[in-house]
Amino acid sequence: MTKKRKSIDELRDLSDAIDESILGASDAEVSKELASLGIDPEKVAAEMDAIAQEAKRLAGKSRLARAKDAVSAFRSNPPNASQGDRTALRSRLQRMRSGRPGENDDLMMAARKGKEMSPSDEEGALDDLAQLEALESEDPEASKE
Amino acid sequence: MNHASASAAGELSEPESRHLAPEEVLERLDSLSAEDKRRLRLIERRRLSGTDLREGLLYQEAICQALLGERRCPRKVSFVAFLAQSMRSISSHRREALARQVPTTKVDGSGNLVDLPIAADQLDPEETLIEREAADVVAEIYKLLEGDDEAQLTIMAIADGKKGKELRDELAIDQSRFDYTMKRIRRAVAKKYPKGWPS
Repeated sequence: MTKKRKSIDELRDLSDAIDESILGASDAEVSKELASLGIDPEKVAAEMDAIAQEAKRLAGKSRLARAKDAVSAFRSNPPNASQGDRTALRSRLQRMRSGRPGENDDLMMAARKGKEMSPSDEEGALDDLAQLEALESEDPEASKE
Repeated sequence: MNHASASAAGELSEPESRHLAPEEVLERLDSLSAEDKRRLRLIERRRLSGTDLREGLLYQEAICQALLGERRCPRKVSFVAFLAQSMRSISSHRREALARQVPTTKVDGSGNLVDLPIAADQLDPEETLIEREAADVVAEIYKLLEGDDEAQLTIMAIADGKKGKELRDELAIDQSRFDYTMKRIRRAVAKKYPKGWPS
């Protein structure tokens, strides 16, 4: 038995068919139909361009807001390294500072210039390392780069 | 350019992705012709009814969503058709959101808030109301074409879910005859419903 179609579906199909016929209509027909609705076809392109410009501006603003949110979300959730993790990070940092071959020679150039780090510098460096490790664990490929 | 019959803009060599990248969306947007903008304006106008959006906002939202990747344009689809489809979808969601705000209570003569009566088989009053309105509009469109048998048959066939070749075969008409019939339907509908219908 064929199920009776809902009126809302019938109307949607009619609406789609009309839209499709507008997309397929000749340029002259479209201009004529706009004019019959009291819209000046000559002005439409410029008006639509202005709307598109505004849309681009809003999209840019929205992208920027999203990026800012992402940065603050990242900053407000610093990796919470446990004491055990912190001890491991501290030994990694010391190896890096000692400049032993194979221990991230390309990192921490300034830290290896002989001067001792202050305790707060060291804590900061540990935080950075913890963040780096968290990022690497999110994206294992990144650590290979 | 005919955007309706062909998936016009999709004639690219084997793409890496099935959808346009944001920078490609920008390129397509910047290269829309004046005629395409006019088509989109007509379509936007038809889709405003039943929403609280003023002219221009539907087009603006469709572009924003495309640029932000919230709606992605398949490469096989004409960019103009994609924008038209996006406007349709955005307006439909907006209408649904507004319909959900339809009150199901009222204040009676004594100033008390009372529930509006809902029949037992009408579990979703908004849906029932929208369906009733849609039935009235379909009947009205059919009536608008009184005396034009071909247009009325076309309306019936479309409402029956027929599309494309199946539709033309059922009506036993070729594409150009079909286009001409749709033009008559479009004009009659535009007179009665210049901003489309509310559902």
